[in-house]
Amino acid sequence: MDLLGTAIFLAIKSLIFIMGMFLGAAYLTLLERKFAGHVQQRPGPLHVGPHGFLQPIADALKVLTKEDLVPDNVDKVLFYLASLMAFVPAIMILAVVPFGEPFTIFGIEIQPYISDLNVGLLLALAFGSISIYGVIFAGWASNSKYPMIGGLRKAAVLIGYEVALGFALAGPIMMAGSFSLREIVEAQQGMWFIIPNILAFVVVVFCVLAETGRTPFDVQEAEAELVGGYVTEYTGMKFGLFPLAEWYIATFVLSAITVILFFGGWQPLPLLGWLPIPEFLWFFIKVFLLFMFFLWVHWTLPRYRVDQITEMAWKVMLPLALANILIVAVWIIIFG
Amino acid sequence: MAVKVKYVERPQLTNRERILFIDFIKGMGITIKNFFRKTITTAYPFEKLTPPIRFRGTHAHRVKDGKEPPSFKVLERFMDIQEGESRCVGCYMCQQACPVPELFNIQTTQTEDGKKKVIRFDMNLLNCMYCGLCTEACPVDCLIMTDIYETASYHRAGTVIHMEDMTKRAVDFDTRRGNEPDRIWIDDEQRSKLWGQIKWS
Amino acid sequence: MQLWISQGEVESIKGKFPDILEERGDNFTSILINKKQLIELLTYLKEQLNYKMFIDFFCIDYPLHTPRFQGVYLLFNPEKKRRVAVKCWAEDNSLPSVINLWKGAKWSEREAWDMFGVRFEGHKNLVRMFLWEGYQYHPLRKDFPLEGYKDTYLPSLNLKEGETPAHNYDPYHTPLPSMEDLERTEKARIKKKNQIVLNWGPLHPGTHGTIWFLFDMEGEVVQECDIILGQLHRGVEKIAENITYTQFIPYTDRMDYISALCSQVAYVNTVEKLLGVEPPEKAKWIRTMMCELQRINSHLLWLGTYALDLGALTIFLYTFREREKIMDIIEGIAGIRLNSTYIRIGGVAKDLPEGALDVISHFVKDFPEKLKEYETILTKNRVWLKRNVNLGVITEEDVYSYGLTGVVARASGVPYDIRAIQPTDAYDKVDFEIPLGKVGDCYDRYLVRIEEMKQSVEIVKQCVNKLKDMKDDKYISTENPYVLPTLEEVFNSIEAMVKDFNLRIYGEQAPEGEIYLSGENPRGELGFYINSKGEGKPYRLRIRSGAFYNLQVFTELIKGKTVADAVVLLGSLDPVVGETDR
Repeated sequence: MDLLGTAIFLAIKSLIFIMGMFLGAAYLTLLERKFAGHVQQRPGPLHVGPHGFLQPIADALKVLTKEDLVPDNVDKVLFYLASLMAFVPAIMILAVVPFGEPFTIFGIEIQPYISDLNVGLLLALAFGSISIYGVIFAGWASNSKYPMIGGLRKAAVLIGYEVALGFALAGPIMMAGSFSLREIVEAQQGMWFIIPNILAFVVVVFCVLAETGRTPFDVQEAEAELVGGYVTEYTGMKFGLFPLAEWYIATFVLSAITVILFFGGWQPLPLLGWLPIPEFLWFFIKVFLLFMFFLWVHWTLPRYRVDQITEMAWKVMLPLALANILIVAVWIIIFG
Repeated sequence: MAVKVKYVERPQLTNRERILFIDFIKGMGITIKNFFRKTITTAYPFEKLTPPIRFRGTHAHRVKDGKEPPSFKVLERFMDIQEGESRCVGCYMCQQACPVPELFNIQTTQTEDGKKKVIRFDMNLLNCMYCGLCTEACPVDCLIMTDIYETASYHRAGTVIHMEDMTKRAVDFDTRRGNEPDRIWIDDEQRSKLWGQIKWS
Repeated sequence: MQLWISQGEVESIKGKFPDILEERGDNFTSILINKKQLIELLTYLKEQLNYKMFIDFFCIDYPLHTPRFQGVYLLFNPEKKRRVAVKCWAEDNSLPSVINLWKGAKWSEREAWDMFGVRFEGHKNLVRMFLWEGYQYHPLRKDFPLEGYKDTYLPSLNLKEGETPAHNYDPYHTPLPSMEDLERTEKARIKKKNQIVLNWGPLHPGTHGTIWFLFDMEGEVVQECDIILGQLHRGVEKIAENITYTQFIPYTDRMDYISALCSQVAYVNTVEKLLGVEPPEKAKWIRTMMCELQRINSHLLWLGTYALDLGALTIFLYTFREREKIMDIIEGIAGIRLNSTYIRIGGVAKDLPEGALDVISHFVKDFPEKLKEYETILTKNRVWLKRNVNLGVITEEDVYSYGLTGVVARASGVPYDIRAIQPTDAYDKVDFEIPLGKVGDCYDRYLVRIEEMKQSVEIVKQCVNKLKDMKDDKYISTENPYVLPTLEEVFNSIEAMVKDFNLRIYGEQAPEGEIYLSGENPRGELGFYINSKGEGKPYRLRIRSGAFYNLQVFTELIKGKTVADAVVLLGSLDPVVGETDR
């Protein structure tokens, strides 16, 4: 009976998380479009709802009601599976991301996370790696040259940066002595992990940009070179899931993990602790700022060539991440 | 004047700039500076720029309204044109001047008293380059180009303009903008969004 | 200012080749040689007399003469700054190919084969240039009708039952290529040797128009490349032979639609020189000013799309913001933003409206600051450096061999700028510097274009200062018998009306002769060769397109590079399909 109750409770909570993420991602598109618009001295979406506030809803309706074309000679199973493979792992990372400490309302204890696994970070990395399959499947199944090249490019980039990312995350884990994201946050009471781990942070920023395919690493769908990259042959919602997963959900989730690892999660910003802002709001403010930073980079920089990206991954990012481990190890020896 | 040659400088990225990401930070500084600038766009169909007076849009026929140039008075004697009708004297000069003469379909006829009357003046704007050579060839200030640029149609036949709508368009154009001076443009709200305040002399 | 070969040099050639026939005119000097000695003469010109830069090759059709076709080679001596034309009759409809002397002749020879059906002995792959394999005719021949052979039934798609069509609607169309034809065209250009053949274009965001690239790739590395042009081929040269000189002005706009005013000025200058018309001083200054504005406009579009190709999305909008201002200026002065048709034989179509100089001053005051913003984002950006530096290096030798002009030549250190070599309009009175590169890579081409924009701003400033004092001067020299009168003159004087009628109906009866004159387009040297037989229309009008020759070097540069480099290389060459295809 207890098990059933937990299952129902978890299912409802997951549903809330997923729905929230969907809606959040939809409004992240609006955020990005507005931001990009103003950076380019234009207003962005303006006409659906007040100041374009309902634009994501209109977009979702448009994408959902579009004719769903499947080209001849595609590998149908993989073609359909690919968009799910790209989308589901991205949203599954949410299962281990905590948004705050457990708190009590009306006597019920609410945990603002789905599960507090003791290997949470490993699971997040694992799920992140699965999304490579979506990209490769999309590139392969489309039976077309541009998606093929796009998929291979993305795979090459991801493999390089997954390694660097893994090593970069080792620093905070060493300092916290735990894989559980909640415990990592708790370990940052005195000092945020950004301080000894500054190299790791730089590596992680680059990795997030590379994993989510934002400039300067958006080689997989460099539209001037490859039209749409691996999504060239996709239409309708199948198409919509790729950018949604990659540009919004993945960026958001990875921003959240970065905040947890380096910026003390839901702890208030330094010197602003007296503000009457609840913990989880602090968390979202930090994630939002980091997300905006990624957008800002995206809308400023040109892009690298794919071989330069992989070269950088192996020759710069990986050594930096390893150097960071050394620094952190020395730090731990000296300061305990 | 002597030819002056200048070799362009190739800037190098110093190590300090490379390590501290100075190049990225400077670039991002520019984008965020622009973020706080005012938007400059015109939300067309809801907002519209006033085209300059010289704008070459859809063609129109000026009518006989007493403001004709002297050349019209000379040619008028051979023509059967009532007040308020198109000034066209059927000289075919527009068609002669046009690089794509097939787009014109002009027909004239002789009335019973021996005068000439233009009964048809069609232009197929699908073939038109809007070069304005026809308006420069019109000796009686009849064929003009207006500031109307919304000419889309659902079928090809809809893009052919006829004498009746051309006269109406010219009357409309002259009442709206007939008295404007030959100025590069008149300041309006939309244009000043992009241009800011211009110092007129 | 004339740039033709000196008498002394022709005498020295005569010593070596006694059979040559020199034709020296006011605007053109050519040497006629027989087919057997052609290669020998060209080699002599290239190696001994240093006429090493290939400018153009084209054919002229004389249906009543045997042999029917005449080939004309235009060469340039970059040291002495002299041109020479070599003519040769194509006996048996064929000429020896000169691709071993100049690589740039490859495409122009293919074009001559395509348009005239002249064969070239020794050409490696003599396929059609613009039209597809399987097309039966050679359209620039004099016996090919202007409207073509309408033999394909093609009812309009949106013509519904019972609907009246537009009055000149015709259900028959000139031949269209079928899918098999296109496949044959593709196969004729490139043989698959590696993993995949990537069709990059004709409709692709990276190709800046409708160019069809074929990449034979090993992985992502391009091993072989060929280009299929002609998707925008409209036969402008054929059209020119059938309309008057004035009527052709709108067509020059539509070749290089990004720098329409520059094309107009180059064309009108050529015609004016042929007719002996001297435009008034004010018109010259207006032309120079408009040309430079158009150059900034064109370079801004280039910078925007180039940055867009390289992923910097925001620069694109920033450059378009400034470009929009120039568009507004051109619209206010000429009437239309893009294809302005503003320049006329003998001057300009309309005087500057009031307030024009104020607006232009406002723009040139504002612009350098914006240019600095673009440079801050791009010039020292490490990504930008990584993508541009040492990519696509063009040597000085390549410049001469391929006939590269414009920015591409200048970035390689060749000071070839028509504005300085053969100044037209007011270019001899303005003060400017020619930016040159040292390496010749994409980064140099970027820097040279940025520097050119700065120079253009300076020129515009000088023009504005000059034009402020010329408020009431004449803007078109209507007293010349070849120049169309203005509307006011027609309204008030019967003589002007008669002159207008005559010029409209019969065209400008140009004196018999030949002329080659060029202008410095943002895309390179845009040259016009006009052969007049004393009629109101040109007998032959050849357009030497800078973009056409500059694009040719792309196939060489891309070898061993990836697709990602292709956009950079193509962007840095900056072709406009309207001009390459004509």
